[in-house]
Amino acid sequence: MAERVTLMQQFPPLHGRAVLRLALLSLAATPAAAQEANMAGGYTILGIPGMIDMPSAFGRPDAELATTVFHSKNQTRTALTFQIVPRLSGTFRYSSIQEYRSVIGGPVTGDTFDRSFSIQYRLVNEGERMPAIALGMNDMLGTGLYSGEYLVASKHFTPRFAGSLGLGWGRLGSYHGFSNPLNALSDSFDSRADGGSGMGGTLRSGQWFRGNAALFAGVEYRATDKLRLIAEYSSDAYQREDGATFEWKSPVNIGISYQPSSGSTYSAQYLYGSEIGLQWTYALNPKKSLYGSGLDAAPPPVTPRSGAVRALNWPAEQSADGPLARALLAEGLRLNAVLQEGKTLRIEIQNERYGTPAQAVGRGARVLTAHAPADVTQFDIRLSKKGMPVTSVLLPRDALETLEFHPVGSDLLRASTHIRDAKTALPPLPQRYPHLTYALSPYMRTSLFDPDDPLRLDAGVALSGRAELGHGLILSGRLRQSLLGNLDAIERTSDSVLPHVRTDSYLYEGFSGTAVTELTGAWYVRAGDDLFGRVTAGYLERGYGGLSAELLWKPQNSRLALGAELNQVRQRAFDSHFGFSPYEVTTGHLSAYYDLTDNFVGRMDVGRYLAGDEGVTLALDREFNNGWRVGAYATKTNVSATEFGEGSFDKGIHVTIPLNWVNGKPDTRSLDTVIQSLQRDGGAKLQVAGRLYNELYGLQASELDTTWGRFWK
Amino acid sequence: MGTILEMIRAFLPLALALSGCALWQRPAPPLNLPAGQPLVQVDVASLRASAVFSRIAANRGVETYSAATPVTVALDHGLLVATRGMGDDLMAADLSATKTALAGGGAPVYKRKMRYLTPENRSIYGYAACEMHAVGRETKAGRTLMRMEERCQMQGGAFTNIFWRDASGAIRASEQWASPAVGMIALTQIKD
Repeated sequence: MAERVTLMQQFPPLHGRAVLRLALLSLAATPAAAQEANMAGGYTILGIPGMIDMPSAFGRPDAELATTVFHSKNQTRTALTFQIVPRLSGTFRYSSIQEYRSVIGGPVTGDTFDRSFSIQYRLVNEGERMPAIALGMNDMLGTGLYSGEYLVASKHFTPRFAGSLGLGWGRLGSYHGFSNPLNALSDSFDSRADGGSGMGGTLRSGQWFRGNAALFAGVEYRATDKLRLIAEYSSDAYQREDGATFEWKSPVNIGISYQPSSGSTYSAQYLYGSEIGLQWTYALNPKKSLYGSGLDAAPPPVTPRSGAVRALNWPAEQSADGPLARALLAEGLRLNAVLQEGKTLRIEIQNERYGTPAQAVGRGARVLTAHAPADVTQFDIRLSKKGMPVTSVLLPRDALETLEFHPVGSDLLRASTHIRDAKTALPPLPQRYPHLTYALSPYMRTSLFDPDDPLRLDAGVALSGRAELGHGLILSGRLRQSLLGNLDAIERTSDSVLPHVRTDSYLYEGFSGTAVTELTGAWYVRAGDDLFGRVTAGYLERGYGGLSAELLWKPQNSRLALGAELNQVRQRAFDSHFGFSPYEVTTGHLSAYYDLTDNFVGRMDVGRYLAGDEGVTLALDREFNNGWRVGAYATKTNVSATEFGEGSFDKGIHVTIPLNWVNGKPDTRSLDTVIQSLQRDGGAKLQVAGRLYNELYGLQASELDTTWGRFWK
Repeated sequence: MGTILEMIRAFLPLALALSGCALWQRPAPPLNLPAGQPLVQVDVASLRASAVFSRIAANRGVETYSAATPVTVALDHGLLVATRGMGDDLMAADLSATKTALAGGGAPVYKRKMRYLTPENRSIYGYAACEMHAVGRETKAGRTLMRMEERCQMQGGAFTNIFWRDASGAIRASEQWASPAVGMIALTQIKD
């Protein structure tokens, strides 16, 4: 078990009543959004956009992220579906089936847990006469249990009544199948090798659209805005399950879905003439929020130089607890340095409150209008992170005064603002360092999909502390005390043939309820133009300690960023707080980051992983302008699929949700979730806090530009 | 099968729901309220909030009012041009046509332009097509005032702003629409 970050490990204290707020999030969508969602169908019991068990072609609203939980006799499925772009969705699914046949037509082999992945792409959007047409593939790289492909057309006959007709292969061609129409192209389409083999994780392209095909169809009627009635004719004969998991008696399914609010949908089905199914779907959309643009406290108004309401004295000596520093701190900005050069007043600030740095700049500028001497005509607000100056924002004071209430104030202000790299730090204020912070917070870790117990968790409290000793010099520690949970009850021993760099981590759980998960000293530094550096030493994570060094080249307004990281680490002992085991490794990567479009960022890491294996990680993230990120990654190293073990290679999905989106309050922190199909020893990476690309997130010109409207919030 | 223990955070909503314990909350900083300034009674039905706001700043004819709570409204000669601290804030507004209509001029149907910020931090316009109607004299806030109604249509709905003006044309009280989520804000000048 990897010491991946726990839910709150990176982001210690949570304030706000997130549970209640989360419940309220289901109210978030506007009526227009609800209407948009109504035009689409729902989610099937496999979690893909569609009817009951059969897909439809409508898809879901762009960016929707939904969890589907389905249960019927001897079958439970949980799925996470993301509408990646308007036409494309991806679904990750975890299923448990009792009493099934691992080979079609074979004996009942017992129970299984299965992970699978589906995609659906809409080839044609629905038009006045034209139906929507979508192509989809289920279980493309798992063990093939749900393997099936389809082409489906869907059309609304009235705004409330829609029908779908599709052609399926694989599982979706298993009832009343006929000879594959694609055999006109090649005879090879006639036969489909049986799935359900191997360790999964490989693309089974040799099976796609092969073997018998069959027709499926269905209709859905939206009786009211909240109630949806569905009937379908399924082309899945459930050959692995029939007569064991449940009795398949009829191809007809009927279902009812009730959506009391835009978040949750409750569905019940009568499936295959014999079983009742129950389904819960919870959908979020990063583009929508219950809190609009956020419940941030009102900012201080701009104070014009003429007719100022209050006159403030500009002290000859600025200090870390002077009036300017206090006023900035009230806005969540920590003042590192102040420097007046002629008519330009420069300040260097660290944003401790706002998820969107453009808002931090706006708040800083508003405070400066009330404090800066009258002869200052220009503000240079420098955003700093971990003691490194990152970006300089040069604002004319006139523009701030004239544009405060202008209808296009943010656009006009941006036009007269210069944003550029801030390479050198200003001399720090006296008493700025050392600066200590600490926090006590709850934490929770979960482990999903262990066949012995698919949900394990560990919860307790964590004490974290940080001391900033100087510009970029930071000591950090984190101590975790487990209070309850069953992560320590794991009894499996690792069968990995690789060094047990992650698969033995469960041994940490058995030792003690107290863990030092981080104890490090770090130095962050501007290494040159557009260059950022980091050196971290100490107990880097629960599993490893040692030395980590990183260099990142990330110019302002550049789509490309390049990084290099080198770590010399030893595995920490399982039975002591501070000891080490003999396993030592040099691990590191060269990384390239590229903004493919406004919303998508790709990353490639090439290097050596914890087990000494060498290979490549590819990752693709959709980034939203409010800090939401949803992405997937895959790592392939020079470890064979057999050596790797189940899953064949490392892959996963990650989701980052800014906390301010959850509770409406300004917050720099976010919730990070990684769903790995399986944690093995191949392709495993060191977890080290403060990786530079993440630290700089949102702080540079291109990101400030896309969120500049928040300057005046 | 090996050690199948994946450090995975729970599926999203579950993770979020379970993470919501609050240990402490950061108090919002109060704004300084100067004495002797003009006062406005502010009522926001959707927020169930009601307070007396005093003027904390003036910039080129636009006055910013606030109470002890970190919420502000900005008034341009009585016209609501911005809110802050209410969530779905009115970020800015171009009400030049409304001003002309209040003065009895301009086209019979005119455009009201409002600016909002989406949850994804994009600046968007809200346009409404409006007509100004002089309804008649009525007693409001202890005075006899002229009631003017600005009836507006926009995508997704309609709203009516009401202005009560004194003989000099100054707006003494009003009900003005801020945004889809905030809705109407009632403003009554208590002290000049």
